[in-house]
Amino acid sequence: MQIHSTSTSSLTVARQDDLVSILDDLSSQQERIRGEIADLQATQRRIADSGTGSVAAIADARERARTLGILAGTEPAEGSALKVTVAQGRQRIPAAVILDAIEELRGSGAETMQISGRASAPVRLGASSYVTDTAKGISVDGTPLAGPYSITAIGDPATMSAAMQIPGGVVDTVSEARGSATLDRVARAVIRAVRGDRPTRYSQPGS
Amino acid sequence: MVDDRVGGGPLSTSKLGTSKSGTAKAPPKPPAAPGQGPGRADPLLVELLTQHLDPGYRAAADRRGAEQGNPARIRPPAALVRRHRLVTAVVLLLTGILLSIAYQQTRARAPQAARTHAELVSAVRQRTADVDALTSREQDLAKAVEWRRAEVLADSAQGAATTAKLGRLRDAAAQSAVDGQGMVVMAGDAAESDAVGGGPRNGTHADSEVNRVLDRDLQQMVNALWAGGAQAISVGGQRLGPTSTIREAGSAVLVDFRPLSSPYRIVAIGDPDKMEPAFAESEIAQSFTTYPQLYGMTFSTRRESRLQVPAVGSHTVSFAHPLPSATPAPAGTSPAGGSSQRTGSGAPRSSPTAEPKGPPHR
Amino acid sequence: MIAAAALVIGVVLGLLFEPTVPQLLQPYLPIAIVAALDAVLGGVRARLDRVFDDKVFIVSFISNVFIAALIVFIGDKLGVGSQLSTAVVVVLGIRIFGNVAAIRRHVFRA
Repeated sequence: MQIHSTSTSSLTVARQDDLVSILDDLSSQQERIRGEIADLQATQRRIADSGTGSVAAIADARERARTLGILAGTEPAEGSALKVTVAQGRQRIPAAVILDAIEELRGSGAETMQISGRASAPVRLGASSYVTDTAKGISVDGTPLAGPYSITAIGDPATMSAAMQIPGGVVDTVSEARGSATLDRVARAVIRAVRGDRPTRYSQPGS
Repeated sequence: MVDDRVGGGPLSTSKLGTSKSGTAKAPPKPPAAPGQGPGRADPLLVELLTQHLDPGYRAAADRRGAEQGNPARIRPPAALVRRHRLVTAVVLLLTGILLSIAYQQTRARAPQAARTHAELVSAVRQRTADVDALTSREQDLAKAVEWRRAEVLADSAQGAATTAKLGRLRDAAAQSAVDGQGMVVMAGDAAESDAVGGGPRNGTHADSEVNRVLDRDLQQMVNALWAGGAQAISVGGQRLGPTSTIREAGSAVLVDFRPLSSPYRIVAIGDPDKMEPAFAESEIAQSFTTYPQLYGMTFSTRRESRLQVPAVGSHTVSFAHPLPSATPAPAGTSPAGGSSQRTGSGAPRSSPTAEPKGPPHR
Repeated sequence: MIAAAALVIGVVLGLLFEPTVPQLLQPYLPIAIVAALDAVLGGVRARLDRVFDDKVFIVSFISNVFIAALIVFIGDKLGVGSQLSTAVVVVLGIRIFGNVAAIRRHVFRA
């Protein structure tokens, strides 16, 4: 794994407030990774206890498969969510705005998302999702969609909703594009769209 | 003529009615503050924006004017005038002293401010190193867990199938390192001395952020690479997974909350014959090819035959749960991978029992 | 004239003798500066408008500084110190700009 050290330039010109917020982010990341390590250690113990070939081991592996499936987008999921509806005004909403919304949702803890357009089946989003402009609307992962768009993101609705509404955030950029964004917090949303596996002709998993 | 101007309404018509002048023109109204009723501006705001001179001066001048008209005016004694002048001079003296005190204090505090800044920078570096160490430890642990799990499951056919499926899912969730051919995109901020004085590229950012690569730029480049068929992408050595973020705090770009510095290196593994032209045609790439000349920034792309991207850290999923009804069928009928990309289905996924991957989609 | 000279002499004296401000008054120094600047610029503009009056100047100076500091002091006690301080600076700043614009019109006839 490559470890990149931050070079002098970008940090030394950063303002004090930015440095403090970077420090905060790093601290919360530390916490998060410590939590992951604790989870992994618990899994390690479980596997050690379950013995070879046992039903428990297989059940545990299936559990893991479903979690991975949710992250990869190959498994339907449910949970508390934020529904972001982007309606357009006279002009079409550019793909960059939707891309921004997706990034912002990821940044505020969305674990998995799907997007749908008017009268079209929803598209599940994943790491390799992309949004491009089309004449009438946007295209997500190659599927054309027309507005109004609806993004369902499973995560903590309060955090995501707050992130959407910060000044200069998604709600602002949407209204700059003459559209309007509405946020709905739901206690339980179901995401049924799934992604197929991507072909891996040009890459092989490394070590 | 005036009626339609500032929201018309009862006020303007009544003024029209009572106007003494022969013309039909209503007296000019002060500009209406937004959201106010027709024609009436908030007197506080109007006063704030127009009355800058202390009204005392005007009152004193009026008084003096009135006195001059009065033949019985008593001139203030010369001593009083001199005393006033003296006090004015003293007041200005004090102001001068005050200004220089403030200047000296600010200068004295500068070293302390610089010290605090340096401490913060080193704290950020230290914590970044800590996070790196933790991430590395986590990845080693994750690998060990998967090995152990595979060992434990290896004894049964079902177990082996599950292990294979887990491997595929890890790949799909970007939790395994990938190597192969692809392309590298480098984009950098203008060096301090090279910055050419072009106008701000994005009007909403402060001047100090001109000539920098923004998080938005990197997001759009990554987007263009995915659209061009990339299989795996890393930015600044950080793999982009399903929950990865590219954002910025002030002048530093953060990927998954880790601060990166210019120049930013995007590694995309995939078919260069498809990615290179697709990326070159994208709007963001076309804009960026002009930036070195316009703003002194750096931008380059090249294809490489041996690239490597690391795995993304594992991510605990706490809000999303699998659907209770959609339990995958046990034993040997595990769903196959490799079907061409489907984009959404109303019903839970059902699939044939065949194991091998289908033909590649692209 | 005498007024400008007094200001310059004051700055020089301050630089030479480096007086220290008592700790208690330290937080109000910035707001006092802005208030003083507003009063001085108001006086200059009044002079150019030919309505200058020493008494008004002295009173406006002292009251500006004192009231600004008082507002911030009370704000500190109520927990809105920095917000009120911002508000005071904004208002005084607007006045400063307005007066400077008027002065500029006099000086450059522009």
